Amino acid sequence: MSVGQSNPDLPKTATVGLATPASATDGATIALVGNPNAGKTSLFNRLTGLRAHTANFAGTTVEHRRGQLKPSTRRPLRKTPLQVIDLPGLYSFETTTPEEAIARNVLLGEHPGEARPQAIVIVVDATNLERNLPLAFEAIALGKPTLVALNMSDLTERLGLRLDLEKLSGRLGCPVVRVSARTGDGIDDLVIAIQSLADEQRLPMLDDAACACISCSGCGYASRFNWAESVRADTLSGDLNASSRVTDALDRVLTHRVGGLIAFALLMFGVFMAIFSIATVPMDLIDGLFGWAGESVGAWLPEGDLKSLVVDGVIAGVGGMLVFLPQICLLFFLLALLEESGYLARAALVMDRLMQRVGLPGQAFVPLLSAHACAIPAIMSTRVIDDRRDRLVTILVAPLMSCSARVPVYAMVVAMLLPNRPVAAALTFTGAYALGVVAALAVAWALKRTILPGESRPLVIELPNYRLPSIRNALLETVDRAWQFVQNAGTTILVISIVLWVLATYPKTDLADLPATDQQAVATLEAAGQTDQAEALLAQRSLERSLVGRLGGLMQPVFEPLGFDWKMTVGVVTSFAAREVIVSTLSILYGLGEEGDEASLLDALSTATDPAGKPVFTTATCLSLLVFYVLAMQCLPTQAVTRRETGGWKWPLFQLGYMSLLAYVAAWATHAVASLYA
Amino acid sequence: MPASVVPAEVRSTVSTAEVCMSQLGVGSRARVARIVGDSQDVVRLKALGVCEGRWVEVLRQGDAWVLRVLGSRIGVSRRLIDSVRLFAA
Repeated sequence: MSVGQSNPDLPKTATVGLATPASATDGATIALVGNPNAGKTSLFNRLTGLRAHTANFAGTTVEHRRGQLKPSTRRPLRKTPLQVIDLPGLYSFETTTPEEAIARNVLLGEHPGEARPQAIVIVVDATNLERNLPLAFEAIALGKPTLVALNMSDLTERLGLRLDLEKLSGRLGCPVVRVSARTGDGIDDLVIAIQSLADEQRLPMLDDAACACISCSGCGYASRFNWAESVRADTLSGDLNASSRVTDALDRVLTHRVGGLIAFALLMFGVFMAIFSIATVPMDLIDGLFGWAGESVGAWLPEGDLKSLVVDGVIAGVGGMLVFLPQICLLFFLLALLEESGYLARAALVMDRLMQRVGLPGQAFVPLLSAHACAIPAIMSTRVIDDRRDRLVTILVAPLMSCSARVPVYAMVVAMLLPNRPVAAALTFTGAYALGVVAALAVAWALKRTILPGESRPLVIELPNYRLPSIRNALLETVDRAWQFVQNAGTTILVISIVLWVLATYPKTDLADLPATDQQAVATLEAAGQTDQAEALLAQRSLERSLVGRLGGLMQPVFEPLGFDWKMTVGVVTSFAAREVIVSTLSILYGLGEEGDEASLLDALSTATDPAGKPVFTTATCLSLLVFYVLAMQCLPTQAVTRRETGGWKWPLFQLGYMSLLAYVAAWATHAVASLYA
Repeated sequence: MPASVVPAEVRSTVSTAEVCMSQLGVGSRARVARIVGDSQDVVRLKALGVCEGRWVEVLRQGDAWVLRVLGSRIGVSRRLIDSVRLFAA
């Protein structure tokens, strides 16, 4: 065996070989540690069931899951349940990503605000001992009470591999428990073993060969891999390549330069088909539910500001956010399935070549593509990107991709621009999407050469064996992520909805406040039995005279070079939190009420004229409005998620600033050029 | 195409008993002699098993290479390939 050196990260007090029992600890924390593809999180879900929650490590944006260890069916209930903490996956204590560094620091008790765990459970993939055991070696060498959970043991049996558990336990110097997170086999045994470990605090005793590795000098990796190889040779026998055959066959296509791209495109097409077809049913249901809730609550509440606040502010605002939840959940669910199947690593591999051209790694592609459904899950899924700068750039450009909330705005503008010309309309629609993609890639390229400089990190990624993903795990992750979205974006959007309601409601306008001509118009409509039109006219005048209307009026000179009149400017202001709101705002401002039908709105917009009698929505203005909404931020929930993922308001504010500036300049240029030709 | 991360002066010091990884064809198998460099990416390469004494097999070449090491596959950018020195057959 070649010589190796002791890991400088290991504490000098490592007590390998000195077994001294400690006292039992109730309510102790047990850390789950393992390689990224060892099935650690699946095992954590089995050990904690639905008792887990997600939290950030103190002072960081790095997430982890923690929860109570579920009771054993064969042991009495503990007075204080043990806490299990699912640490980020890592390959070695010599870490290369912030997540890995935190996992190591928590294990060593060096992460501020995080108590050192009392015991360690190392999750090892039984079908791939040589890759997993070097980390187990480092964790065991910490000298804390430790046991090894030999995951995917069902697979070793199916592949006909013979495992000598006793010998393995002897070589590792700690208990080894066979388990399958996929089927649930052995979970109760593991729970009992963890409880015994916490109570008895038995310390591990690595074998002599391992102790020699710690004390010798040279390449630590080589010596640990040599040791792992010798342990594997001692304890596992059979056809070791059996687990790779299916993967090898699939990879011939899925990692192929051309075949891989085609397969990836087909798969992503399937994902988006599912999102845009399946999600519409629950989206319509949620929309209907909030409409019904607004009507029902409105019927109970007396007329007045409280009713308006609850119905138009809170229910409409929260409903407007939650209507996108089905799309978000479906995207999370499908991405979780793809990740667990092992495919996402291949997607990163085949897209790496293209993404490197703009300075981003292959892992950035799936989040950017996902942003076409919604930027929120896209930003949350950037956690697969190792490098902090690459991750930040991806977060900053993801909202430039055209999400589904932009569709109503695109549909309105394109219908105005190209009525009865379906081919040209489809091309313009496609052009809007293409503009978003080009802008995102160009901004990523620019950011990597200016404020976030540095070549993207070269790809080094494990391509795990393909496996059948667990629906249970994907559902748990989806529920967890969706709840995070509701908690974070929900609270922000609630506050903003109330603020926007106040701005759009006050100062109040009564009929008596209107000029005589307007009063006369309302009275005429009412006399003719056209109450809806009368109410719409009053709503139009109220919004014009509200704070947001006045703000729109004040800001109109700013947007004039873009061809926007004051009504469009008010639309830009009211849609600051949610871009699709511009459609309902224009509907109100053109006297159709909040839910004026599409044909009437298009008719009103197309025939709208300025005081000089010229059309408001010219070709140049329509194109300018389209470009503005392709590139502008106009989505507060996304900003809230950016804040959460970047750990402060600095980057969301930068994102808002650069996107607003980009949208303004591009819309101005579009208007200027289009005006020359129109 | 981004340049190799291995400095030119290091590339010129390849021992005659060693070959650069880029000289290997698909299906070839060789034992790692050493890894050049100390960047985080090189460290990650070692942590994934491409380190002194391990056998590697080339499964696919291109902008990203696919290697078999320790019984499973890893994807490695071409930029890093020449930081892997192998024992000549």
